[in-house]
Amino acid sequence: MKLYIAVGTAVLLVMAIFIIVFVAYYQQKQIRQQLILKEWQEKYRKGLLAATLQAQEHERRRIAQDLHDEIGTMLSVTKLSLNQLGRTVEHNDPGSTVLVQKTRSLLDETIANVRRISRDLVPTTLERFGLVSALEELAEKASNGEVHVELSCSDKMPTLLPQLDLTLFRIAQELINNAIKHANAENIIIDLHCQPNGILLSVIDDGRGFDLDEILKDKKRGLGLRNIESRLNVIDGHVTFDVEEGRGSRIHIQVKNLKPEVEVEVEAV
Amino acid sequence: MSVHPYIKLILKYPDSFLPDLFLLLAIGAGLVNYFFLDKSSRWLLRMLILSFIISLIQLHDAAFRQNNLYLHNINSLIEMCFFAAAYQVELKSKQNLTVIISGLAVYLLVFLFDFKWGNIAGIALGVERMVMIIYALLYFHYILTKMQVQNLLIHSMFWVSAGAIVHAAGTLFVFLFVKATLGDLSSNGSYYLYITIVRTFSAFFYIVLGVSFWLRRREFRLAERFTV
Repeated sequence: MKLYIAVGTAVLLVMAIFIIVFVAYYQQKQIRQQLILKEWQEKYRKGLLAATLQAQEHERRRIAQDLHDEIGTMLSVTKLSLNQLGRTVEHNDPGSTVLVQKTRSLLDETIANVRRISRDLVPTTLERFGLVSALEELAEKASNGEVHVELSCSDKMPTLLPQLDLTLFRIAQELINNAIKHANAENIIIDLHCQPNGILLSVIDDGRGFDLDEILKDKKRGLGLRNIESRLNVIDGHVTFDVEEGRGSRIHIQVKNLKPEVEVEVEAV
Repeated sequence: MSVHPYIKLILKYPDSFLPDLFLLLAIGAGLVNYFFLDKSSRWLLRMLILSFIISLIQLHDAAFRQNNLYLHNINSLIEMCFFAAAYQVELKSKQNLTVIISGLAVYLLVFLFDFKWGNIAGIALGVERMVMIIYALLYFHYILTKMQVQNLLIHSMFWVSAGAIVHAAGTLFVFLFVKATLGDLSSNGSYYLYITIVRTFSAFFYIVLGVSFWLRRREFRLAERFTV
């Protein structure tokens, strides 16, 4: 009897220990699997986001090409015809010359606008000469009598992946646009610096600022800021908003990983 | 009132105070970490405090050569009720609650039937251990299905359940066959073997409970770090 009790106790104990070990092992395994699944989901989400951004860039490129090749060509041909018409009218109906000249100047303006829009849609300078040149051009274009945009940059900037170049450029474009359009800034500084652990892009302005929480709460507003976060999500970047209503804003973009996991194909011009 | 019988008892059976020492340490751990303890851990701490009080009365009765066997039964009742309370807090679903209450009800019925003033209620204590095993398995099932615990090895309730299942499995047969194991004091020293087994597993359970209180503190700190 006593032997049976001893054996029974031993068997029960072994079973109990086996159950404990099994539960601990199985639960840890499940948790690991859950983490892997989460990682996959995150990767998939990033991939989807990257594909959306890529599609957006494709669409911009297509529109720019259509504008340049079709509308631009048509406008140039129209201008040629108008010039011919102008020469004819000059001899037969001198009174209409003013009208022709007015139409020609309107046409010139339209051609210039189409070129500008086409160039804005596809940052050719970025693709040909890199981020620093593109930002210089952006600063130059944005500067006018009322707004002064300045670029401050490290002497030695590493060559970045086209995807990173494009993301940083688009973000700078969005932030400058916001500063001019919404914050009424007069002075904007684009600060691009290479750090030992990545790239830091800051856009500092002296505008009237904004309430970040209020903007992010409202789903209809803050689309640009959300877009910035989405773009950074793809390249594992981070944005810090040092903003407040009534004072200038400081927005810092940091990209630590210069070789992001999800790659977005950027077409060369 | 002389303290002499106490000292005499301690000197005569020093090893029988080992579980009490660990019980005291577990209570100390519980009190030190009291503010970090959740509801279930507090129920377990209350259980330990009451067990310690019962242990002191047992010591007193033993020192003055009075019957203290019924106190084993009372301790079992307290353990079972507080254990059920702790698991009832932890296992939130209605189905689990039904199992917990059913387990407690079965135990209470057996306890009422088996309780004796002059003997250890072996069947009641055996049933208590079986119900403890069921609670622990229920908790294991719960954590495997919910998957809310990130690191099981530092989760206090996991260790409480592990301790309970080992303690219950190790002492189940000793109490189920109490007449053969602890009933006959003259049976070639086997009483001492089985009572040592019971004491060892009790001591182990108290150590685990003490550790679980410290783990609860760690869990609390970790949760605080993630929520700030």
